[in-house]
Amino acid sequence: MEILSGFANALDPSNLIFVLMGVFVGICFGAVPGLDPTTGTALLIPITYAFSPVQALLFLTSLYLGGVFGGSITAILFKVPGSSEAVMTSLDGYPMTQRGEAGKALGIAIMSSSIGGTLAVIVTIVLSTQLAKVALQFGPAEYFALAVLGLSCVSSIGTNSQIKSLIGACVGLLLATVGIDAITGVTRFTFGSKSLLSGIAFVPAIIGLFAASEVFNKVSQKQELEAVENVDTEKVKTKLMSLKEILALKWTILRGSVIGTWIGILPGVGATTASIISYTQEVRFSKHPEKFGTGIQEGIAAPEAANNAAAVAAMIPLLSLGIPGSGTTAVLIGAFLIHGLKVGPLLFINNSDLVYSIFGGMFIANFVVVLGGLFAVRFFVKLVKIPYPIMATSIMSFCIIGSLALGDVNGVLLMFVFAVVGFFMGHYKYPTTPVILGLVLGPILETSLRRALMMTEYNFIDLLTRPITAVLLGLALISLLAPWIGKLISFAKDKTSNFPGH
Amino acid sequence: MRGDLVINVFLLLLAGYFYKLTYSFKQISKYDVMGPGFWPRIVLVFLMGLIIFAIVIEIRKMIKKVSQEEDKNQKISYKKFIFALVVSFGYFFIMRYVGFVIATLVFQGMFLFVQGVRQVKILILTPSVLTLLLFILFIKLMYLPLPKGIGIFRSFSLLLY
Amino acid sequence: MMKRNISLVLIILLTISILIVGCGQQAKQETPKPAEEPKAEEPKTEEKPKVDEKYPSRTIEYIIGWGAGGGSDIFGRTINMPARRALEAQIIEINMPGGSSVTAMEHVLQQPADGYTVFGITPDILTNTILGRTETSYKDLTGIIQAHIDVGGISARAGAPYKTWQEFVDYAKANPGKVNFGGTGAASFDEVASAHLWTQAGLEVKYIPFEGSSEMHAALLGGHIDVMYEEPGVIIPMIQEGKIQPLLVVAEERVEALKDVQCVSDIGYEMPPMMWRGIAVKKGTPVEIVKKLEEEYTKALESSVYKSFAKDRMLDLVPGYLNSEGFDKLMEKEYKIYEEIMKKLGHVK
Repeated sequence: MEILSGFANALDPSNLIFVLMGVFVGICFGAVPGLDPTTGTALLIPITYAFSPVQALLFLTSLYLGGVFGGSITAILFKVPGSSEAVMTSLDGYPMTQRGEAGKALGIAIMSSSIGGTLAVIVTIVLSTQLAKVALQFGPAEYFALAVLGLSCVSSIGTNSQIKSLIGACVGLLLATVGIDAITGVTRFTFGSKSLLSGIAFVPAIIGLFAASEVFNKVSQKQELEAVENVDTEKVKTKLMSLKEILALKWTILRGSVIGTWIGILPGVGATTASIISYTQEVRFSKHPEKFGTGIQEGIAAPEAANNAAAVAAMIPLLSLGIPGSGTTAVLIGAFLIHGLKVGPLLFINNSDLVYSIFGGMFIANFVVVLGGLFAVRFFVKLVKIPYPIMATSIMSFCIIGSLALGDVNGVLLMFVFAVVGFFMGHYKYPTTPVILGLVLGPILETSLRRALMMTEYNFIDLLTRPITAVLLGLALISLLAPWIGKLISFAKDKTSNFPGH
Repeated sequence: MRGDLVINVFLLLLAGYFYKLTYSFKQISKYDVMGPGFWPRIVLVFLMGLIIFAIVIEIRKMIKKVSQEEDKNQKISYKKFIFALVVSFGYFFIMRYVGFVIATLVFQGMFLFVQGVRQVKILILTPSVLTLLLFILFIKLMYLPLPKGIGIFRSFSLLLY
Repeated sequence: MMKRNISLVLIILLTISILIVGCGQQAKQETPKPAEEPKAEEPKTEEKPKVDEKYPSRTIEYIIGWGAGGGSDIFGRTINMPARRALEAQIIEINMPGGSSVTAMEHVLQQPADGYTVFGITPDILTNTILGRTETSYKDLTGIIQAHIDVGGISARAGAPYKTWQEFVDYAKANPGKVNFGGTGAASFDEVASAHLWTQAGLEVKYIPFEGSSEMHAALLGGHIDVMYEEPGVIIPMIQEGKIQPLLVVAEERVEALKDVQCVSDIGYEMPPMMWRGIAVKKGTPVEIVKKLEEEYTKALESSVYKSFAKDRMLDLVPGYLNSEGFDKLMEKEYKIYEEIMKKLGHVK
């Protein structure tokens, strides 16, 4: 059993220390806005030059896993998604913090991340080659259907006004078209700005829309705020979930892991998309979809399980086909190269020790995430005690420097625009999440549709009857119609009522 | 709510303008039949439809006078909002002239002041510690190319990083 | 009450900073990376950078116009390892992705021409100007060196009904307008270079642009596209396993690593422009500094670190080194070629 020797190898103290270090450094990278796990991995690759190949790859993969989790800490505590992967986590995480349940929210995030990641590692070990082959069946048409599925629940997320959600989603989709068109190279809606050529930068947009607008909102309250809301600071302790609680969320976590694993395998879509689709599907499966966005446990467990699973699963196409499944795995190729290794199926044959050690390392890293999470959280939670004016000043500084870090001065301008827009959206009860969904899924939606149609000579029937596409679009249609179907059923039951006119 | 109506009309005009812009994109590839303007147009038509729908609902509400003047968020002080915005934006604006370190120190002091903090100790200590922290994190560890300022400020920044 | 809070805040913040710094140093100590040896991190020189006789007296910023993990990124990070030693200075890489390196280009030109901002470039800086994405052009830069030429190629899936270039051309002629040809980026190098070949072959081929090469590889293996333009260095593992069948190597002569694959002169075509990577600085940088950078980066190219990297990525298939002067001339020459092809393709009038 090679996998056992792989575990043994990863558990060897000289290697284990790199897993530990990787996870801790990764959590720090993830938690600080402006530093995302991908950048972190790239920044630290030169350091690994001095490590052995096993140590280097254990360190970097652990760093990535830690980073994907780390973003959720600040997302939950301050509504500042430390990395884009955590954007969905703040939707239900932050309301829980406001209710004084920060510890519980963090506990759920830690456990779901860990379980999601672990399940994905198991899948990777067992089914790597087979899954990678199936993933190749996903062409542009299927990517399009996937994006439609992700958007289909938009009207039922965190709002009581469906029309406002839909307007927000359309605005997001429109914003996604800004910049150089991926199919023709024509520039669209840039108004002469160079930095808009590459489109609306995603991280400044979420930082502005979520974090900075929240700071503005709090700062402009007429009454002075002492500390972050009514958080009972003495009580903020991370509570890991009990077995019973885990079991209560078992389907949510499982669904999240499966969706995350699958999306992680697909090249070109990553952990952020995985967490979005997982969240929206959870809304669809839920018996009480209206509660999402108000701070419920499923809203944290679903995206967190999915993003860690996706982070792990991105290794599947890398190791079995030589095709990276995400931005970070593309960076990892560089690490392999530095150590004279070429990724691809031959790696399994020539360096199977290394591959299984990486698997073992990823498995262990998911447990270290729990430890590292507890440690980091204990630390970050103390920050909640700081008087709000000081906290607001720090968050604002991080928002500005973080946007500056991930682009140029125009990133900051963009952040401010989104902050002001977000401030007024909150004021007029427009939900901000649909805008983000539109912004992330828009490019996948548009380019895969156009690519797919170009490839089939604009044969729509051909496009829609591909089996996977048909299934995904069917699911999306059900989600879209679900509210109306519900009304129809209640209408049938209650024959005296009038048909709901819309 | 009147505000909703204003927003919707504004959005509608904006969408119309964008719609007009889509016709200025040039068609290049003969294989890309849809062209770069097709998708934005679909989205915009959808958007405009939704906005008109929303406007109709608002007007109907106004006619029926169901306008429940509920929580109009009277707790928000626009004066404070403008101040906070100006200070943060000013920070970003002066950063390229005076460099990261000085700009951050000044900004953090002012942002605290805007929030009603008047204790001199906090106004001095917090910015110093926070700036040091950001300096170490972003410049010394991450080597971010943060603005160094111009003239005398640049020389000062070059001493530090 | 407030007083206690402040001290608490201070303690916490200090702990964070100590912790973070501690972590950073720990990581650095454990790794005696060769690049750190010169210890040129903080030369406490009070001298003004105007008359810079001891040129690299502080950190040099190496700007990369693409995101982490791409070809330009890996090249930059690799060449800088030996370059740090050669220049005896700290060099840091900064990724400024966006608009096919337009963002990075504009940034570089906003910095003073003092040699402390170095820019890793690709032919995209030529096409960006032609496409009107930026008013800046290659004329605003001075080339330091051209480091290598990344030989391109046309490849198909292993099970495809064609095994050679000629078979493919016949197939494409029998199915006009049906062949899906993949490349990375719209109005990009891939599109221009391949269009050059299609015109000579007299083919009508649909160019399907992909954002990332990984997506494109998956699309090729999954049979969603028929052929693709890709540098063999990136897909060599898949070629060796027999999953991808190279049809043509876009080079003047056959290359050692792919002896059985035809090259451009085998089929009697004219060579399209080639993909290169190089290093440049803003125009107006003092001649001595340009000379120094040219000399030291050339030394870095000779280092074993870079050489083994170039071998792995198959960047040494054709000689691709040019000095500062030659590099400038090449850009001038290629600018005209690109302009012509882009006009033909309809991207510019």
